[in-house]
Amino acid sequence: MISLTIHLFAAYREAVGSRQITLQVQPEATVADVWRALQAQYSGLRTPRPAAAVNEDYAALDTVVHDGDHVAFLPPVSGGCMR
Amino acid sequence: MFLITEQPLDTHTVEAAVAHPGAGAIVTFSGVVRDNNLGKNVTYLVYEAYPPMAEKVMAQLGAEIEAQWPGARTAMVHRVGRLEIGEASVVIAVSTPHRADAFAACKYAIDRFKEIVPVWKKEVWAGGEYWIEGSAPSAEGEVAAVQRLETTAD
Repeated sequence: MISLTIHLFAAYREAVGSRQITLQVQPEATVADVWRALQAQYSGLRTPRPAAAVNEDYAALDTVVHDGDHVAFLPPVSGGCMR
Repeated sequence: MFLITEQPLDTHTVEAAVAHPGAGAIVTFSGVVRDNNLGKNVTYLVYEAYPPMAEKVMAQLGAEIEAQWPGARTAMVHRVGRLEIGEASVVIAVSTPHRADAFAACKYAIDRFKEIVPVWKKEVWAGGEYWIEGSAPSAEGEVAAVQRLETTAD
């Protein structure tokens, strides 16, 4: 197993109840696998295909993660104050 | 200057970060908390960010703007935490040699900011609260956007 630091924000953070957690996954797991593992633990995470980042860069869901990676799941962004 | 902060924003500090002798124009945009949205009376907003990634993506946007408008310099600061009506949530300043480019580049900066910088906004009104979801690009869309950005920056 490899160990990841998971970062969660906004609605995802509230669904999990924590901004940062540690998660063990199988080697060669993808970002999509990580999301499914989280969904299995936290029923509030319903989005099928979230935006994600690995080590602070946007990453596609088929990106393979490595031991020690920081994986972030990002709800649709809404910075600024214009709408 | 590409910064996420909990402190109130100071427009002059952001402008000073892009001022230099070759700049003939500085355009500054301030996003301000409004007291209503979609027919509801907003009490206050709470902003949340992924600070290290947000600052990295802002710097990438700055590089993209410099590539597109030669001589441009960009600074962006976004505040997080609870913001009251009338307070600035974001300040972006762009300097260029001439004014037309400064207006165009600053508009581009805030439009792109709202698409790709990881910052979220919760609206709180009497009796409820809601995370505002912006334009919701897919993961692939965002990766494509960043790849465009990297291509432009090369």
